Amino acid sequence: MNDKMTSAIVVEGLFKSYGGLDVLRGVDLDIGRGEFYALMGQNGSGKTTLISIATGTSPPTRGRVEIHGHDVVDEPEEVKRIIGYVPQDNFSSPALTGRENLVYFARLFGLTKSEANQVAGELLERMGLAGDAGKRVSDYSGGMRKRLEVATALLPGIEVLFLDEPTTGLDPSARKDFLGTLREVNEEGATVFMVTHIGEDAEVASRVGFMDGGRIVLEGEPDGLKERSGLQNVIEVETPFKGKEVASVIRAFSVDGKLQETGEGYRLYCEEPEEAMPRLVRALDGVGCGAERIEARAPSLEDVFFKATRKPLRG
Amino acid sequence: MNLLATVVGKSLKEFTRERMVIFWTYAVPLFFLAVLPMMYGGAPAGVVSGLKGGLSLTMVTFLVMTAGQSNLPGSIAMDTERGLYLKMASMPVSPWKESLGRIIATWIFSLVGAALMLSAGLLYGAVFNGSLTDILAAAGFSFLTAVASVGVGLIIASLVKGESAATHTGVAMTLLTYFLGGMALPYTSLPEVLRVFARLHPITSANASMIFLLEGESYIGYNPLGAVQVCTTVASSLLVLAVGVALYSHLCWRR
Repeated sequence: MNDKMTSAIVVEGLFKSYGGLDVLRGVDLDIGRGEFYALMGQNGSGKTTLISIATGTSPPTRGRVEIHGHDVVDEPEEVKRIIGYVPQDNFSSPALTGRENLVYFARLFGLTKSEANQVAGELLERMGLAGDAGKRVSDYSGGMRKRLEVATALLPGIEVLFLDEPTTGLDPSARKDFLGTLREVNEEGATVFMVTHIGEDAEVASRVGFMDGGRIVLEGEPDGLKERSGLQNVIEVETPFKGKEVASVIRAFSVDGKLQETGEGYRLYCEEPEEAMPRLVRALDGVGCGAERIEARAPSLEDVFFKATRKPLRG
Repeated sequence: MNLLATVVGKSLKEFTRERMVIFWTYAVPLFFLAVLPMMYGGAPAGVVSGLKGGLSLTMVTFLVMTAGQSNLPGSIAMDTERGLYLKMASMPVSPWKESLGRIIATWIFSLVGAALMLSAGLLYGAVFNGSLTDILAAAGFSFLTAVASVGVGLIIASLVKGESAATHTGVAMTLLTYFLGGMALPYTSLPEVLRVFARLHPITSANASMIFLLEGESYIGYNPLGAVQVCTTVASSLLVLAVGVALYSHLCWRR
C-alpha cells in the first residue's frame, strides 16, 4: 500500500481504451514526494495518455490516479491547485511578452494582479529570462520559450510537475541548460514526472520507468538499470550498405548474438571492444563492405530499454 | 472577475497586435465604405447621404461578423493547435468563464471598430435619422449581430480544425452572409429563396432592422420590425450563441 504522506503520485490498475484500442493496460506506479521520475517509451506506448489522465485532462477507463492523496477524478479542484503541467507543444502566446504570458497563467491560477506581477518577476529571474521579459515570445528561442513554459508550472502552491517530452526541438546546448534547470527545481523540493523518448534526458532523473505496450515493464535508478541489464560496451558501426551477409558478419562479434539495426548501420553489445573493433573492421573489409564509422561507448538507458523491450526508443 | 478580465486582456492584446487581424477587420470595411459610394453617382444628395448611412451601418455589421466569425475562431484554433487548452484543462479554470472572456474581448474589439466605422461614415457624409429611442433600438440590434457572430464563430472553432481553416471558414461565412443576405444587394432584387434567408438569418435581419430604424424602409425594402420578425431575430441570435458556447465548452476543452 502506498503512503499518502510520502507518495506524490500513485497510479493503480490504470486502463485507458480509445475505440476498442487499449492504450494503457494496467499501469501501477508509486512516486515519492521530491522524486524526479522519468518515463521512457516509444511513441504510441501510452506515455502521453498516462500524463493526460494524471493531470486530469482525460478520464481513465478504469483504475485511479492520486496526487498527494487526492483522486484526480473525484477531487479535480484540489489536484489542479498542486500540479503544474507542461504539454509537449509550445502553448505560450507568441503575441504576448514573456512577462505577460506568465502574468496570464498566474491569474488563471487565481492570483491577484499584484501577486501575479510579483510572481512573474520572480519566476523570470529564476529562469534566467528577466532580461527578455519585455520581448514578445515570438522573438524567443526554443530553449527560452520552453523555460518560460516550465515557469508556468512553478506557480506558488504547485508541488508536482508533469512534463511531456519537454526537450523536443531544443538544440543540445539548450537541452542541457533546460535539464539543469529542471534538476534545480527538483532539488528545491518539487516532484518531477517527465515523459521522454530520449535516454540522455532520463539520465538526470532519480528513477526511470520503461513503458511498452501500455504497461511499465521495468523501473529503477538509471545506474542500477544499466548495471542490472548486464550490458557490456556498445559498438556502433556505420556501413555503406546493409544486407544479410553484412549483418551476419557483425552479429558474430555480438556478446549475445543479437544485432540492432540503426539508421546508418548496426548496434551490438560486446565485452572487449578495443580488441573486437579492429577484427570487425577487417571482417567487413573481407566481404567488401568497409565500415564508414565504428565506435565503442558505455551502454545508455536507450540500450537498456532496447534490451528490455527489443524495440529501439528512437527509430 | 479575475479570470474574465485576464482572458479579455489576453485576447484583446492578441487581436490588436496582429496586423492581418487589424487589416481584415478594420481596414477592409473602411475601404468598402470609401469606394462603394462612388457607384451612387447621379442620385440626389439626400438619397446619397441616406445610402451612405445605410452602408456605414452595413459595414459595422460586416466588421462585427469578421471579428466574431473569423478572428474569434482563428484565435481559438491557434490556441487549440498549440495545446493551450490542455494546459488550461489542468488548471483551475472554468471553461464557461473562459469562453465568456473571449466573447467579451471580441465584442470590445468590434465596438471599437464600430465607433471607427460610424465616425468615418459621418465624416464621409452619412446621415442617420431617428429618435433617441430608434438609436438605442438600433444599438440593440447591432448587439444582436455581435451575439450571433460570436455564436457562429464558436461553432466554427469547435468544428473546424486548424487556425487557417477556421479563419477562412469564418471569412467565407461572412462573405456568403453579406452577398446572399441582402446586405450587398438590395433586398428587393433578391430571389424569393434568398429573401427568406435574409429574414431568417439573425445577422442580416438585425442589420436590416438597424437600417430601417435609422434610414427608413425605402433603404431596406421590407419592414423587419414586425413582432414575429423581431422575436425570430432575437431568438435565433441567442440560440446560435447558446449552441456555440455549448459546443466550444465540450469540444475545444478536451477531456
